[in-house]
Amino acid sequence: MNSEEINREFIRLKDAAYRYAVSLLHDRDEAADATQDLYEKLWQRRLFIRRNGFESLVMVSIRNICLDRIKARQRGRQFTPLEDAEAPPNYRVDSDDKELSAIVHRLIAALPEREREVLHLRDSEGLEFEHIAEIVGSTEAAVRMACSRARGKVKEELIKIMNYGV
Amino acid sequence: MEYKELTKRYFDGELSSAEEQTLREGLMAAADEDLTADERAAKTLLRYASLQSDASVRIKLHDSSERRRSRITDAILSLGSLNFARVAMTTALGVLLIGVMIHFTRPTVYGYHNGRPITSYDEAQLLAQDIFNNLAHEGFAEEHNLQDLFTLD
Repeated sequence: MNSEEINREFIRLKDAAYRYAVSLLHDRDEAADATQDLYEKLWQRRLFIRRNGFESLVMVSIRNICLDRIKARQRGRQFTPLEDAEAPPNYRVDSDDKELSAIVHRLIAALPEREREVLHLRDSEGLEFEHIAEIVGSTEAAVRMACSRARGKVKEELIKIMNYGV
Repeated sequence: MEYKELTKRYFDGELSSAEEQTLREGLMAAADEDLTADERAAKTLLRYASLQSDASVRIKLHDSSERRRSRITDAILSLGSLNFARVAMTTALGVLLIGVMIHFTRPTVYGYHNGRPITSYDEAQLLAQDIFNNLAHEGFAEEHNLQDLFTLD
């Protein structure tokens, strides 16, 4: 890809990469940094990057960058437990939605990492299971299973909250 | 409710993207009171997902027009979006081909005469003949001398 192509393609995908980074890192500033890092790396290697499969490359690379950052945190530099993770971003929502959004955010944050990222890629980014499997390095069946399990757990908790306000 | 089956399959992770879109639109349009607990949970999850997909980030991009140097390399390597493996394979094949060509087109050296390589078979034969003739003459002379030396009479 030349400079113009990489800029154009990256602009198209940067928000999806950023949202994926937020879902993994639970920190919008760090996710923005990770996205910028990703762009710099892609820019440096742009001459060797082909347009085919660029979307997968972006998503796999942002995942790797985020996992590296999570490892760095776990080595004790800036550990943020999931329970203390950031509140959901302030999207354009009314107060009821905001409340529900906060609940769902908390429930999703409590899911295992793999389930959380599969749920994000499927529901928020609308990616096909096959594509998600490619990104997370798994099989389509395993991804479907993880997605189903994640949705099931969130559903159970949501129903409890909606019925009993637990 | 008509979305009952779709909701069940949604939670089982069995819906296609198109079916999920149908479910999303249907549940969003429906009033909460008309939905079952599962459907309301699905609606909540789907709404959360759609709100999340609005988030965006600002990235500082490199301005390609300011980087004149990169344009040259861009132009060279963007020809057909060559990837590294393909370039490396083509180069290796080229080097191999050149090696084979050199090997088969190189003249045969039959020997050296006064430091000059002899590549003509006929010339080599003539020179070899000369050398053996000379040796033969020198050999005869020595043989005569030896005969003189060991003759006691």
